[in-house]
Amino acid sequence: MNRTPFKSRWYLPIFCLFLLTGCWDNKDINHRVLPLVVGVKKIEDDRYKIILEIPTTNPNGIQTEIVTGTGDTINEAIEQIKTNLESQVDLLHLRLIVLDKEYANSGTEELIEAIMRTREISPKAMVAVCSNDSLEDFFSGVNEKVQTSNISMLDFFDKTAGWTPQIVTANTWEMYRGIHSPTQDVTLPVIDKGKDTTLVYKGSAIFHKGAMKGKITGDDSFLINAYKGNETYGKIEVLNKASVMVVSNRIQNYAEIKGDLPFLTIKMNLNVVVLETVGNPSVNDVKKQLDDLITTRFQNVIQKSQSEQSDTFGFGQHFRSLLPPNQLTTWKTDYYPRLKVKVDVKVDIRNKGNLKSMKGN
Amino acid sequence: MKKSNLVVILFLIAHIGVIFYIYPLKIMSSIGYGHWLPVLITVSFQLVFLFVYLKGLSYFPNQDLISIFSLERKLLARVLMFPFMIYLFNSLLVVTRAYAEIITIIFLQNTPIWAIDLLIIFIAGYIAIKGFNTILYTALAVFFLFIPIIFFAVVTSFQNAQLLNIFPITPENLTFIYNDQFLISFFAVSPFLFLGFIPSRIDYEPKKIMTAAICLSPVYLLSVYVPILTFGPHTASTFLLPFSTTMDTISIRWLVFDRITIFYMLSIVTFSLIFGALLIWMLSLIIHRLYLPSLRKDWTGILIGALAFACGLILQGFDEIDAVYKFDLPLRVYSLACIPVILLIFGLKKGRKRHEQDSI
Repeated sequence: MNRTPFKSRWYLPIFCLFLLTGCWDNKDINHRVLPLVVGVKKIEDDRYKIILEIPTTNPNGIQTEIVTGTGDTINEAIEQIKTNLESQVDLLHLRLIVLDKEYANSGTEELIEAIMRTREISPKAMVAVCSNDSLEDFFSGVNEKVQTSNISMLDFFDKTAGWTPQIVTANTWEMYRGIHSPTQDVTLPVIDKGKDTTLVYKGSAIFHKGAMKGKITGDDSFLINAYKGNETYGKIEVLNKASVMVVSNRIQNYAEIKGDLPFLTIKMNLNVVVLETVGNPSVNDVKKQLDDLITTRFQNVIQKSQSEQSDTFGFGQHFRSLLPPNQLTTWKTDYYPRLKVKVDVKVDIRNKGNLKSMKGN
Repeated sequence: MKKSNLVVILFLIAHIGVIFYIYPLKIMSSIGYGHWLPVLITVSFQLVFLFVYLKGLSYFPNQDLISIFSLERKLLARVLMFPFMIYLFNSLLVVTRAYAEIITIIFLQNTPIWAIDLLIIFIAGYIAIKGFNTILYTALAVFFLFIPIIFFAVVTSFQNAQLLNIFPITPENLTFIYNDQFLISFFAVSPFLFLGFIPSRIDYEPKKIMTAAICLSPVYLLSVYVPILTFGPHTASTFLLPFSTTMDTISIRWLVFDRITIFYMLSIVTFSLIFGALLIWMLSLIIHRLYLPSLRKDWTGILIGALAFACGLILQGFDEIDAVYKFDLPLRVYSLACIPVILLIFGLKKGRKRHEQDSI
């Protein structure tokens, strides 16, 4: 039998096969830890303290451990953790960044920029503010709950799990946009450890250029989600005479500049379902009450954020085409505090549940 | 598939690879808002000079740029082609080195840069040495493999777009025209030059190429405007890779993969591998036929690759890569604008001569 000679040109492709293994700086998965939640605070001397919540696997399910590190910069603190841990720390799967209250007040621009700069942390990681006085206490409290109930803290923000329309969410990249964009700011959720539940929602924090300026309540935060067109299905509004559930909403904006003053008219169409009634309210009573409630809440939030120069709703977006381009950068400081907003709420009752009519009608 | 269509695919791939990587960055650093104007200028520039180039080539059927320029005297061709050759080499250096740098930034943080650079040059050089047909067929395979990914990436990248970020729409000023960064952005136009080197046995239809170029114009616009719609011009201009950062913000629940960016970026890198192969192939043609005919063509290719790799090792970082772009400016004007015009002049002269001969 004739043996065909092995042609020398085959050596090259075979050599290439070795390149495919990619075992250059390969570290196996069991030598990596993948933290999901990180806490950031400032301690004395302007040093950062980083707290990592690292999930570990064991036969009984998922457990988490808390590791801390300190440093003059964020990377130094993380580096310290990396040196002390016996595994490689991979921040690629980081999902939530919890900011200490004090630190959020003092300004977080450096942190957010560091995250956007490094490719290691995903810009999709969510950011929240912890209202607990001690971030360590928050983490250990949450950790205990997670150990016993096996429920991740992240489910709280997950739209397919525990999220409700009052909870505002913000990603790191949105926060970065809030720092650089002249016409919109970001709102972060404020959380604390709970007594019965893992977390409690304490409303949202308004930011100006990456520094926390104030807090608004959970009910008011619903408006931010509603205005930004996030899903509002399921928000229950309790009125004096009835409880209703929001099923959908639509927002229209009309912006204009008269002379030097910016004006904005917001038309909000709310579709609600009646859940229960107290006494004998007419349909119009319910509509009127809901209208008043939403309007006053809107004005509350607007007033608060105007005094802090934080364009929480992103109203400035509607003035991008109206203002002279070189004036845009002065929007938050010059125009926005003088903005007059008219809110026009229209309520439609889609149905009244399984009962044909409300009492007395 | 007909070879003429393959040329169109190669044309598209070479451009898309460069556009998505360098174009948005350079346009955004040249002007603050009203980016459509520089984009419009780029697109019309490409259409005009592509037309001139194709028109010039059409006077010389079955001849490529080198033989056309050597028609009168070989020395003339040597002089005309020298700056062009330097430009091509710098392009090769920049494409391979900058992409290696980007790969280390995006997903291979710990791999040494020389290893990535070597891999890119090795693959591009290998394709180039195998000849133009190999480049064509690789382009075809790459096109069908990666165009769906790029298409998916571009469609999903609108997820976080806010239409209002398009304002202010009036251009900031007109000083961008002589801004270095704007002039560098014309790098994205340069791949069309390969059309002058296509071997005579391969026919391509200039009309189809022009159509492909028109189809490319929305790609230029998208690459700049998707980041702007997502972040707003003030934020988008702070990124090194605006488009891939935009991809990073996309979250698709039903997709198994968390980061689409890596797929998108790998497709773009593969496209530029093809562009790199084209560059090595063009360079080895020029050097072999005009300057060093005694050297075998494939050895020329290997030498060029080795030289590009060596120069890539010398470049220390993005600032030095930028310096190469700036050094290139006059060469780029010469290659993109003067070469097509000189070619057209050659063509018109030949046309007149033939006309005179006919009338005698």
